[in-house]
Amino acid sequence: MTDKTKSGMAWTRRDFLTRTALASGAVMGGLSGASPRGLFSPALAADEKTINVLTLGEGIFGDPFVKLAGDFTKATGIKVNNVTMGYNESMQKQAAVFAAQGTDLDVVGVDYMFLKGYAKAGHLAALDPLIPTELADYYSDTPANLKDVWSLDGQTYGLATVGNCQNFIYNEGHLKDVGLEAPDTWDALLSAAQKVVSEEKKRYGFVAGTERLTKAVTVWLPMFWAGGGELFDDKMHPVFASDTGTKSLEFLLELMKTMPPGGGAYTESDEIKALSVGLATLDPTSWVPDSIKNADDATKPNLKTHVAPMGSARRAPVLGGIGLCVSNYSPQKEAAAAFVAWFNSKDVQVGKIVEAGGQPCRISAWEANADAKPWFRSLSENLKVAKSLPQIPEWGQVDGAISAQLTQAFAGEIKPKDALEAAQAGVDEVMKDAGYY
Amino acid sequence: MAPALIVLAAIFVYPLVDAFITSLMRWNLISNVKRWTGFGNYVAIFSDPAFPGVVRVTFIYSALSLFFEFSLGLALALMVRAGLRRALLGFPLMRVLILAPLLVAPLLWAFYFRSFYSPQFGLFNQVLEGLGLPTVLWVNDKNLAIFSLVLADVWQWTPFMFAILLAGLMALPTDVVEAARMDGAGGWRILFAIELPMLRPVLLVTLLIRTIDSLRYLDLVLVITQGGPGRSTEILNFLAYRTSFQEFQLGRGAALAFIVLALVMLAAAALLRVMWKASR
Repeated sequence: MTDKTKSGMAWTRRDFLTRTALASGAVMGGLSGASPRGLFSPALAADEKTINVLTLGEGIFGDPFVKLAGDFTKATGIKVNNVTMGYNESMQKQAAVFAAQGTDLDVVGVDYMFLKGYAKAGHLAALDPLIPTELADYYSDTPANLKDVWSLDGQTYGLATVGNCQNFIYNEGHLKDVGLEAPDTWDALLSAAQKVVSEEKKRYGFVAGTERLTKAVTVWLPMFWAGGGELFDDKMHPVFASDTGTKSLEFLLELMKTMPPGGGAYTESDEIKALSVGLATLDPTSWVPDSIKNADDATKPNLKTHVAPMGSARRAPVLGGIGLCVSNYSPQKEAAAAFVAWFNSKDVQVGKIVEAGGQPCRISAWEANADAKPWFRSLSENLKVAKSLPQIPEWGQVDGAISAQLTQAFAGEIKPKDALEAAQAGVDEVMKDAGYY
Repeated sequence: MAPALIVLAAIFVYPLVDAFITSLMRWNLISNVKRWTGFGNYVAIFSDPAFPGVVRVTFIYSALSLFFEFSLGLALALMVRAGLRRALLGFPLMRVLILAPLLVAPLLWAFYFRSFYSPQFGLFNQVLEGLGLPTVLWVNDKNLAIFSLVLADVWQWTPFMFAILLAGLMALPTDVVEAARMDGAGGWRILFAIELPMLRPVLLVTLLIRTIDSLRYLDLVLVITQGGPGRSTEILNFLAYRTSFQEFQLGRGAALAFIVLALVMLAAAALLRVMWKASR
């Protein structure tokens, strides 16, 4: 390369590297000076009233926040930059941003399992001083258990926004074919699942997503809880390897014998498809209504929903829910809180959120939209009795320890009692290591 | 020299040292509680009764994938070379078409095979049913799942072996082979006694690259089986992923990643030693 400023003199390699580095540094410094938040700030626009909102991209936990962002902007003048991704990616991103105390995100869709851990770590802003009037109105119109789930030490750190829990979807046509109605108890469900199986008709009984990372534990839990079981005692010792635990896992394995072939390692999409094409009959642990939405013409009229089955102690569908929280590192907490408040306001919950593809969390909104979707009535009843997963930062490890053993039991590698004992020992190590005792 | 060292330090040394320090801590990403534990994570990993099984599955997966990729890649390369030399119709096109799986992103490939392997709705079982054959629980049977993953892996990466081996075979000097033929040596003798030994450096480099890749691989397990059924397809890299990003235990996840790194370095060192001996 020849330096044109001094004709006849060539650049050495050292000269090239040095000058390139200096030039790059000058450019980087200039750019970072130009932006109010720095070079890598996502808000390169000079407008301070733009908030970054992290939610899922689609489905009930994503569609409303994307589709209604424009309405929010019209109502408040605050612009929204939607940052959307899948569930796993969203959970990983927010954990990383919080750990780095990043200012990239203003509003974050947090799974309630992690709410208390994040709040304790100081990652979330308390909403009480930011939206006190809206909170009072909100709590007057939501089930009592929601306040406990979304609060820590008397302060609210998130609002549920989209209500969800496990729902019971079943094929009425298959049951009528064998002279049965929708089962109300777990025992009746097992009996119905066994009766309805027909190899010639390619018809099977129970169906659930049994894969490890997202499903195995929450398939077993409703049966375990319905039988009166608890995961932990009041000192956080794991106590689930009990008679109730073993019986519930044995019960689940009996149910799994009525699944389509390969059911021991079924993905959520296998589960949804099996119900939507009429292959399976009973899905009491369904998280999304996609099997109804996507059912073929022959199956759709037969797919109905019911309240969660009753056990010897209670009905206990697992509570779900990704709510909206304000990042404690957000430089625009008031604007972010306004977003949370707007999406949880009565007008939006009653009149907009269902149309935009979501599900409400307010009692009045469920009542007003009871017939908006075929699965809403049973879902709103289930929400009243849904039980939340332990809201501890170690839940990921606990879930991992239990699901590793459950999937081995599903595969027939170990007996239910041995699986639960090994799982309990694993969880015990986790809790000890975390300092609970 | 200094700028190069700075870049090397920034993009390689610093992240490696930082990750190693992380591996010496218990770090829950949700609560952000960090606690120094020394080699406690490594002790916990090695004393986990499930760990030997995970290592065994990792080696079985890698070894089977490598064996079939190499064998099939070599067979295809020999076949295509013979066709190209004889100027047979279609072989130039075949050379390109064989490479097609390499054009698909590994993650997409994994999603395709997840749908293909669905027990009731997957393409493979629909084809088997159409032919009147019994269906197979490709990834839903704990005894078959690892082999189904190997099949998906071999299908995608055999073309890589093929491309490199074909290039190596085409570049071999023909005079030695001609001389052997004139002395009466047959095709198989020439292949095993002359051509493969001459191809040894290429073979070793190819094996080195694929060995490193196969020990690091994650996509197929993450998308298709998630380590199941049971723990039949749980490989080290998946365990590291699950620990870091599902259980949010960054310290232990980093320790697992370093164990994977150590295994990759050992495998690479063994192959490099063979290469070095061969070059002498």
